[in-house]
Amino acid sequence: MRSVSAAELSVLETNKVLKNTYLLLSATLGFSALTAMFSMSLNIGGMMPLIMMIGAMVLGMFVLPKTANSSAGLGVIFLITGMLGFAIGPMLNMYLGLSNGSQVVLTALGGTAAIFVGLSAYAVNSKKDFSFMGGMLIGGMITVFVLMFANIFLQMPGFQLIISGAVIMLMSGFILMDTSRIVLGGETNYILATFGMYLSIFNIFIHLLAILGIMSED
Amino acid sequence: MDWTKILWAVTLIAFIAVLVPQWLRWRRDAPEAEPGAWSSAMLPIGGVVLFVLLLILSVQG
Repeated sequence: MRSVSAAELSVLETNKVLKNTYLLLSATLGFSALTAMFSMSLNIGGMMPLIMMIGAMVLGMFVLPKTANSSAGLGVIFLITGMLGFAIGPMLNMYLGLSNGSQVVLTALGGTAAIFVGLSAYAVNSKKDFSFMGGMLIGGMITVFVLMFANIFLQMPGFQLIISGAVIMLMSGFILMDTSRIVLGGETNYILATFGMYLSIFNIFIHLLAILGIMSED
Repeated sequence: MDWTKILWAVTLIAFIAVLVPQWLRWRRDAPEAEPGAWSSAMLPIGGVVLFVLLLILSVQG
């Protein structure tokens, strides 16, 4: 019987992390869709969506890293993604209320899926290390948050288009970087890997929805 | 200004405060880009930009 070399073991381990990440990502996206539908049916409003989003981000930043190496991490990631799904319910109701709302929402959904699959396939097949982009991507996110802060007071749709376009480009960069880190063995925890990928997909979806909503005839 | 906007503004400031140390750490520790690495990253991101433009045209049509 042939023995397995250390290099082959490393490849097997990487493939396992990648497979587990995509499985957990599918499950969390499905769960988010369910909680989004639930919040759409409840027609919640006011500060609840924002509080849910802030709660999910606090859990993601401070609780998930501490639980990611245990089975509790799975519960935490489902809680986070469920809360994020619940938070976008009112926004989806608003877009579906437009005359071509269902077209806008379905286009954003399909577009997000195509962007994620395309970028992941590119990162997996090219096997290039994209982690050199980390500083630029985080610096870009800080700039975007400053612009978002300014737009609270300015309330300009044109400004929102620039912000959303920038977020989609930055999240595309994060997908390349996160996938390449899994493929090259830099990320070995599939729960943390899933959280990074989920956030990229979530942000691409809501910002694509914003762009398509503004640019559609409504 | 309503409370939602105030809460959103505070949240954004908190995000910035959390990200700045991470940004400084990445700037210090991130690996250097190899020759041609930026173009291999910009190619798919450029593709995403073109794809989004196509999606915009599809909802306008």
